[in-house]
Amino acid sequence: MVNAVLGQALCIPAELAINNILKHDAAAIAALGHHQGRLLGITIIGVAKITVRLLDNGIQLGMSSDHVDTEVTLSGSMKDFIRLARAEDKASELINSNIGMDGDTELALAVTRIVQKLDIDWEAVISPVTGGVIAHQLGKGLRNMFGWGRTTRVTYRQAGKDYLEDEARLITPEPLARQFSNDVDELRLATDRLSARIAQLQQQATNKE
Amino acid sequence: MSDNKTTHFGYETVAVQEKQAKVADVFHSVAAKYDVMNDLMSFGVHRLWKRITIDMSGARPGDTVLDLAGGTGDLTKKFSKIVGPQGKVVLADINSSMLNVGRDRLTDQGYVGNIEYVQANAECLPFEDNKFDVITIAFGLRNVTDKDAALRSMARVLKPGGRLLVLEFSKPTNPLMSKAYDIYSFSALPFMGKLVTNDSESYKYLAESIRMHPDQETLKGMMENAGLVRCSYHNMTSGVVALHRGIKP
Repeated sequence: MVNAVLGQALCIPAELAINNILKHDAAAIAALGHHQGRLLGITIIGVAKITVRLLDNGIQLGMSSDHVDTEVTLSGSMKDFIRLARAEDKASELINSNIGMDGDTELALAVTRIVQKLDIDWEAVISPVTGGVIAHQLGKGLRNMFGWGRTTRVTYRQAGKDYLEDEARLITPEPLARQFSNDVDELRLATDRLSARIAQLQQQATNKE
Repeated sequence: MSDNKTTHFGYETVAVQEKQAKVADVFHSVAAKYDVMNDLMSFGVHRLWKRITIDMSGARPGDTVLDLAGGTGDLTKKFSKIVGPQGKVVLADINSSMLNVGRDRLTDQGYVGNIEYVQANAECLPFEDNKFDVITIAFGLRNVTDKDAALRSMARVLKPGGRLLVLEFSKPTNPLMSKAYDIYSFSALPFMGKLVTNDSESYKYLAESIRMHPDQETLKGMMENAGLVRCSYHNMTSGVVALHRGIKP
């Protein structure tokens, strides 16, 4: 349990930093308030077990032991969690990834949605240190940087998709694949109907004999 | 209890009837500087022990929590946030000075609405049976005269499935740590007490009462005797402090 005490000590700076940032997103704080007091566990396999207590003014982090009863626990490798953090649609990534969810999955999805919608007022975070004018410039720079990163990611993804579908023709475009799938479904239904009709006619012929 | 029964007050042997008043004197004396002294004596680590206690309490929104011997309200403050407006936290302490300090501090910080303050003796808690989801007693049990009666009383007011958590100084598991701890608590603690609260005797009592407190296994057995099940303990800081947990069946 020495580790638990050290773990708690390590959690405090991280918790302070996160809460200091969170307090500049009123919507996130309000959303956390709806889940006040609830406890979520995050097990990064082979690294750490962390608890996240949701409060109406932020979060409280802790190093979990097996004796802590969390309402939901997410378990996965560091790689899985990094992928989740980088995903555009975090809720969808959480459901489809290798991260295991044990407990109240609705709570896990709610927290994921809060993280997804985080919109930090960077000027407010840095203005106490730098002053208003510099904070505005830095905030603008940060937003542009994140915006540029997001746009670049989307552009590269679209360009890659176009190349694979239209130029290299290595994969089928999504509308064609969907059309093909629908055609197969319709054909299967028609075949089922035809089989049923043949069976009915055979039955009638047998009855006449 | 017969009139000539004795108990310990630190290393002193006193009549059972006297201990409560003597412990009360100690806490009346240190109440105002209690938190400062806790931070000084434990180098702030008592806050980490309490965080672990909160995590292991399993408290949920809407729960009813009893913070027994809650003193200046460290745990109550955290529980108040966790149980939210639908829940309730009762901060109970036998000592009116400690309770006043706790009530004033929490009210000043805006913790109101779901907290009640009760002056109560842990040996005969003034609550109905099966009332609380969680009971915590942090650094309080060693000051109770009849610990078995107190544990029985806590078990009575817990709901079935409710959890009792006892955070208390205990026996260090590492011999080196034990030696260092002895030197620290019998030399440095009374000196710090003298400097900060002008009362070295109270801190001499603190060190002595810790040595007289049952060790981890004994306390676990006492909790089982009080009717709790799945009792376990977790040593923290090499056993300087242990967190015991039991569940009411």
